[in-house]
Amino acid sequence: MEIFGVPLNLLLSQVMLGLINGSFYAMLSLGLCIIFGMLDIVNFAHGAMYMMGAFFTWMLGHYLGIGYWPSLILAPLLVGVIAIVIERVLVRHLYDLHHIYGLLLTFGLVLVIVGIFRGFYSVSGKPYPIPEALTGVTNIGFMYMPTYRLWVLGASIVVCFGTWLLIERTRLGATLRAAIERPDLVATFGINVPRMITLTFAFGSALAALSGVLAAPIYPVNPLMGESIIVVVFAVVVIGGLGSIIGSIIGGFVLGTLEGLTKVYYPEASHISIFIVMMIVLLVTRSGIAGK
Amino acid sequence: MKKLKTLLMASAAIGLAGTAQADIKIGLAGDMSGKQSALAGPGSQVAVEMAIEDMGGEVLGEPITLVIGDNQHKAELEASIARRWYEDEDVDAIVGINLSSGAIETVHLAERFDKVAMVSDAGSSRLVQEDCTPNHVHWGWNTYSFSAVVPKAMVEKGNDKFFFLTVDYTFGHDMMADATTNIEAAGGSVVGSVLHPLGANDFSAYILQAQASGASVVPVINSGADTVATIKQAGEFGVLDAGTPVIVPMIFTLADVEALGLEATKNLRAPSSFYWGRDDESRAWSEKFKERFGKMPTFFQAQAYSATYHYLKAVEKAGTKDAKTVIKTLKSMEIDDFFAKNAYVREDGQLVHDMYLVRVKTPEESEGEFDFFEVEATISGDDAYQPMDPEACKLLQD
Repeated sequence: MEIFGVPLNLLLSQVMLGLINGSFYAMLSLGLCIIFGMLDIVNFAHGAMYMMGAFFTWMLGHYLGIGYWPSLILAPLLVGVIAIVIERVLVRHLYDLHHIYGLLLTFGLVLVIVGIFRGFYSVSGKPYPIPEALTGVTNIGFMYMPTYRLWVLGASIVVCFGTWLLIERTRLGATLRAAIERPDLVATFGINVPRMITLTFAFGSALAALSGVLAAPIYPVNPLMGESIIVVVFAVVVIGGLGSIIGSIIGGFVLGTLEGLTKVYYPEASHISIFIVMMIVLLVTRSGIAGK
Repeated sequence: MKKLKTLLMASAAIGLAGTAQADIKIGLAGDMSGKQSALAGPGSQVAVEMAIEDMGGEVLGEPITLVIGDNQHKAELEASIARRWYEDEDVDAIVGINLSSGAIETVHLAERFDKVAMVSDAGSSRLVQEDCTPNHVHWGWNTYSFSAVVPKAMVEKGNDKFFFLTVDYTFGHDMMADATTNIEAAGGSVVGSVLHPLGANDFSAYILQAQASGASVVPVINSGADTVATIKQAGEFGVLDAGTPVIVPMIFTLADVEALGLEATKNLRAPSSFYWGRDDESRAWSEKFKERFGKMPTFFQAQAYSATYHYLKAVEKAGTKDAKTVIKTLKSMEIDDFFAKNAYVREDGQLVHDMYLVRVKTPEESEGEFDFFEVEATISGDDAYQPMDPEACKLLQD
């Protein structure tokens, strides 16, 4: 059976692969969206956090012999600590200023961070193998899918919806959301609002780092890896509606799939398909699909 | 009024003559910090500096200066660097030039401003066909000579159906056309192709399409991070282990093997214009290079040295830095160094020299750092490069 000249099996495989790429978009745009929604900072350094997540995974393995599984926790923790320092020392001074200041600061940070890694490791990148337990391929009916990619898909769904639940459905999340709206009022209840903001920045960055760890075995690990993906992720956040968590998550998966389909029907346009959607969405809704 | 005009022209001429006598200025243009900078980049700078030092730092009694331009792997930056250098900054010769689209523009600028371009990075065979000029030489590999290396070896083993996985810009399109010619000449056939954007992240979709095509060989026509991602993901999908289709990265350097590791790349075959461990001569130069750069040279870096060195030799021999005279001298002089073997510069501006088919060693075979390739076959330049084309290249028409 063929759909528009493409065999059904091949089409389903491409949808599946698109979903998996979408899971990276979803996790990255989620972190970006939390930081934007909670801190009102357009964090251009998000791609650098993703890159550091992948690089720390390689470094942990290369220098300390620490494997993939501990790195899933350790690399995001390390990046989280770096994010805390960045927030405390730099970002914090910009909350009352126009968005453009945050964007410029974080853009500068990208240049510094990427420059440091490039200086030490050049751009050619580092090898990172797929963890032993997840090597090989699994038959999922219409295709043989690398087992590791299935793990990525599952892990990202759990992480994304877990985060959504945490923010939208728990007391902690409610407090956090309240602190954004009325920090003065929340502070009168004895809650340390600045610390909460710092931890939110760290959490968003750690999410990016976690995507980096998941990416290390399948994408090239190099200092520029964040740059190539972050522009797409920004588009996903805009399409999903700035600051809308559920919009970012669903947007990530849907747009990944759309990009996958473009790769079958008109591969030359795969790079711009998401941006075309972004233009249309902005023209029609002006604030993204789930935006307010 | 007429007098004034003459006076102005005369003073301009004196001014020009003044600069013409000044030092020899070489510009190295390339991706110094972007995604492809591991292929040539800062390593090429070291190579060019070595070439200048080997000339004693001067030629015709004038000091040689070097300027660096970073195009960040963007064609439009490449062309604007070339224009600025030729027009305003008195650069005599540009070496490197790593994007085919930018390189084509650069050589036409060289002709317009009557300067020299020594294209040692970009590969488009158009540079010696419809875009040939009396002001440049294409120093090293081209899309035709590299695609001539692989098909014959593949078809002889019964792998005769080819599917291209190609990057969507000038270099990719030109190499695909040249490879098709070579494949058909070797008795193979092309069953399809897929184009991907430069700097794509995930290649699994393209790999699946290549698998589904029923092809026996998939030449991967891209470079740098794109190649690394393609090979990494072909491994992930089990294509490399299965051995069908055979994946052949068409631009594959030491930097790519370093990024992927030997385990993930063992037994891959690729064309090359140079390998540091080829013989004692190449090893001796490469050891010197490594002392300064910390890594063994890629073929791009060796080409940058060779191009610079021979340009300076030609200036010395010609006794002038006049662009067209230098290029003519290059075409008549003997070419021989650790890089270019059995080499000469053809009338259309192509450096013709031996090409190699290399195989990536297994981790067990590799005897140390950067011991990555084994030279499996040597293809003479006359067999590898396309015949000169008088219909396309204007230099061959009178």
